[in-house]
Amino acid sequence: MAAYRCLRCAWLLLVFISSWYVVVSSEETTQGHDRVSVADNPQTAADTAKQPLEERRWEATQVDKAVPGDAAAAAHKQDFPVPDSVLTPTPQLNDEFKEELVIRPLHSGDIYASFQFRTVWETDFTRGSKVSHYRLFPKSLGQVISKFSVQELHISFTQGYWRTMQWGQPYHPSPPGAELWVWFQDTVTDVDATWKELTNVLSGIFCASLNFIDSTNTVQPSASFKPLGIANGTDHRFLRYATLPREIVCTENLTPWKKLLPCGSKAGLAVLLKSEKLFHSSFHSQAVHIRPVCQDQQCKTMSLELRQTLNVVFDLHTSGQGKREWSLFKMFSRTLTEACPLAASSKIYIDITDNPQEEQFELSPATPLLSQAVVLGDRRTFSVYDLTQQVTFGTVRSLNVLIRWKSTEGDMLRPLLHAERYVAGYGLQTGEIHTLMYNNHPFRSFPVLLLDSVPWYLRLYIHTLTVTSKGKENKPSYIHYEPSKDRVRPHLLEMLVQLPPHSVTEITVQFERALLKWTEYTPDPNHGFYVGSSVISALVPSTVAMNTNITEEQPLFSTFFPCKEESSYFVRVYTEPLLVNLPTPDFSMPYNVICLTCTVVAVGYGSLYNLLTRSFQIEEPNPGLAKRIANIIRKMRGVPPL
Amino acid sequence: MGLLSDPNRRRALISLLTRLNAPICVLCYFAGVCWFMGLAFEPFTLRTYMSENAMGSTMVEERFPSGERALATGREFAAHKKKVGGMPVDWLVKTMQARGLEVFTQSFSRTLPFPDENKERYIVKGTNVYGILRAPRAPRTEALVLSAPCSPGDNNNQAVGLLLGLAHYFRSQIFWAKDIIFLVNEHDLIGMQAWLESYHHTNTTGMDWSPLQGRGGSIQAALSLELSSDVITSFDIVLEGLNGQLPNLDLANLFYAFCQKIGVLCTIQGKLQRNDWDSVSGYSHAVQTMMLMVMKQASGRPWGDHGLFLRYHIEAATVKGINSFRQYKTDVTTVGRLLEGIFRKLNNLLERLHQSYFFYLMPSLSHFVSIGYYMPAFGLLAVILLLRALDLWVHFANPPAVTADGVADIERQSSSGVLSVLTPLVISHLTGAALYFLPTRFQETAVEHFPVSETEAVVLTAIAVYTAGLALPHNTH
Repeated sequence: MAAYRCLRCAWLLLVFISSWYVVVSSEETTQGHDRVSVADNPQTAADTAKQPLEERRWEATQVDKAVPGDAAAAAHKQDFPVPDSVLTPTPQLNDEFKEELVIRPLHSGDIYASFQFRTVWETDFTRGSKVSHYRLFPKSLGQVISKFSVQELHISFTQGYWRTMQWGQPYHPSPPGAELWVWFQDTVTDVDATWKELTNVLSGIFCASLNFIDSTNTVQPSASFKPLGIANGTDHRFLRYATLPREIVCTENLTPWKKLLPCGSKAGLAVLLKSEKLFHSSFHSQAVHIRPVCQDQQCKTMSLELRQTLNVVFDLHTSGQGKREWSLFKMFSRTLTEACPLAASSKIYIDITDNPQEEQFELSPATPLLSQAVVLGDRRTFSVYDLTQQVTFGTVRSLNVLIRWKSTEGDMLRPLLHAERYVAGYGLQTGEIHTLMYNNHPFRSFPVLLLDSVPWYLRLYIHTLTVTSKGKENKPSYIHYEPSKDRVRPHLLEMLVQLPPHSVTEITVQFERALLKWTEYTPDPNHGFYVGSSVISALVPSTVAMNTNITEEQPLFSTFFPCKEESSYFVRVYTEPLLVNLPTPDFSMPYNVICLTCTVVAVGYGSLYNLLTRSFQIEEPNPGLAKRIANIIRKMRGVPPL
Repeated sequence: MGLLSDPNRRRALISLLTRLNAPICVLCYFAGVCWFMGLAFEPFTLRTYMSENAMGSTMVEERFPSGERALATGREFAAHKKKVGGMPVDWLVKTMQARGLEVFTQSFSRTLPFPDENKERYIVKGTNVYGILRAPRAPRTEALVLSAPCSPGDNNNQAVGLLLGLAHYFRSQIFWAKDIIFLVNEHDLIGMQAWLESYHHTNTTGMDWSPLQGRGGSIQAALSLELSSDVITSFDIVLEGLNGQLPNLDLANLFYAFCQKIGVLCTIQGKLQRNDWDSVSGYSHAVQTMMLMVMKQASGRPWGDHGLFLRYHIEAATVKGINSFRQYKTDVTTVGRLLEGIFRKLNNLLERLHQSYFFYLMPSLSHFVSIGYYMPAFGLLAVILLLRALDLWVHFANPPAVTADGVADIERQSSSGVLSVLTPLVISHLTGAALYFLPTRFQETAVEHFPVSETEAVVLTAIAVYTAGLALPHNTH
């Protein structure tokens, strides 16, 4: 019996550690994944003396990470037997699926739920090898990747705008509408044609208007979008980036997205994804990211990672009826009863950082599992519910996590970096785009990379570009500008700007509104025309590094020098899209114009023609009777008439 | 065009026009005036109708329940206003935040050219408070504005109360597609102008304002609310804006449609609609309403806080609750339902209001005169100028008597003619420039040296310029 308990403990530890890996690897896009993390169970192993041991264990697992799927599968054998040898001719089936849900109660009383589904598959599409057998990885995407030689693909559909001032930074930033960026492999010869075909295919897969992506809204950013996975070269000729700010996201986009999951929406966390609740929210964003990742530390073999994320924010007033009380049922009108049987790990994380002593909110059912991670430059503590364990579901066999707030204060946050954008001026001839970037860090300046893609029908006057911070001109250290070509390609402006501490940097550029041809107007021209969000990519100084006197729950030896890896973290901030009115004719005008011109031409041309062709002669007045008689007599006499 | 290419007939026409010039002018004048007056006669005008599809067929249901609470909020606001002696900024910020809005403030100051009538001050300082209701799943591209001025004294407290009540109610609804900005502006037009200039980052009046921290994209429509009593008997809509600009007619139609639906008496120019169009008094009522509109537009000044929005291509109107001593009373809940209905319809808009007319006159709320109908009257009046000019031209081209040495005489006359035209032209331009610049330029000098106030100095300088004009050499011939 004791041996069994021991085994169980070890297994638990293993699960914690692998969950650690998930949290941390979500951050490895910006930093290496060799950061210090602490996984401790406060009830059994809260003492810091045990920490080095655990860290050693963590590293050990990281080394033999080559077979995490197998380890997990072995651990799951009682739930779901994986018939390795039956399904494939190869001895190992190297794919693995993990699902997790992070819930972050927000200061404003709203609640943020972030789903993440990750499928890693050890395969290689790059060498043109035909892959025909798919298990967890969706075949529709796999075929697309191999056909179009895609190295990385990132696509997001978002309905709503992330309110940084109220909600802080999101785990997965995305602009309103649809965003697509793709790195092609360097074997692709005609990137533009491949891109065109790819967007059309994706349009079909995701039921979205991605087929409206053409050369007029595609750009090749030179610095803002670097590959997130392993890549040989970063020649931006193989990169294409496009946004459709007008795209409306709804259930028809959600259904195909859910179909890509191994369990569909039948089991696991995906059960919660009911569209009537997901679209009764303040913010909804779903994304698919595909990238090549290393299989192990030596990076000898490559595997393909598919990450499906879905972020949703529920509103305190509309969804929560003004009560600061949230449960899974209230959010999704479902509770959880099981994990996805195909998943190696299935977990729910609740962010309880602001609530160490339960003075802000209480969480029920209580869970003994805790974990910590550095997320977005801040050390966060999470309560963890492991769905692969039956204990989690309790006696009622269903899990309904409940968060009940005790205090009711909701202040505006001051995120270290946020941005806004608007159109200034009035009238329909010219205007000015203002982009404001706020650096709220008290003492550190940091550089940001701004990407602006403006459609051709706003003709930017690039000589009017000004960058000012604190009333002084701020000279960008790098400017990459590609002028637009009418009806062919948009403006692309990339700048590297240093934001001084505690300041607002304002970037203004004037533009002229073009008059379109009358067939180029949309069916609703008076609605206005959209300009996509600008993208601000930055390495922001981390709050962990900012906080120099952290003593709580940290061993003293680890806190003297601020750790270099944690000194800054990567964020991407999207500004709001713009709606710009262009000079719009009255569309009954063609009829009026035709009537008017016809009249003018008829009258003007008619009279001119008349004047030109008529022969004028002086008409003599009718001579009197006596004169006529006299003339007759003179004619008879042969004398010229009077 | 045979008429003009035929010299005989042309001559006949010209002689007709020159001979009968005065009678034709008189005829045109009377025809123009009659046409214009006829526009107020109901059978000659069109009924208003909703042109915008998005607002027409879609049904909305008004459920605003908490009029009493809005009034209580209004009383609380009044108490705080009295305590602070102006805009209770902190209280408003706190109240709006409690209603789940994103709240921002904006301070502004404006130096007046003349001292204020009541308080004898030169600098007006104030603060605007506004809260933004962020529409769920909307990308901050479009917004609607509901504003209420924070007026001195006991005015408009109910309006602010209702605004806050509506904000609270709107916040709990899911159907908003556009952000809604709830604005309480101080010092009426000055505050509104400061807010609008800051929102669009323009500066046309030389005002000092602090930049806005939060925006909601391009504003599609705005309503300004004025309400000073707990119950009202009728609602008045004010359309005339800066420089006589008008909002799209659909906005007036929308207001009228909801007044009809909810059963609130509505007026325009403070005049109720009458059914007896065939009687003399009914007709004169319509004429008065229409002429008031013409006069207000001619004055060029905004007749409500909405008037400043129109410059920015934002359709806006002011809605005034009026409490006269009629029997028929409407409570604030009904008023709230009316506004809710209007906002829900505006929220349904897919495009800016553009379907209906921008140039119109209204003899009553249910009838309108479009530009196509009133322009002929104006054309008839304007053609008189053309006829008189033609007459002069003909007389100039064919001088009635030619002397013996005709050629030299005509040349001399024509050269002196250009000069004689040029001199008054230059003089009148100089006078105009003097009238434009001198009064403000000499204002300080005048105040320093003469016992006059600034206001008087401007008027006196203007009079002095006119008097100086009398002394200019002129030809009595």
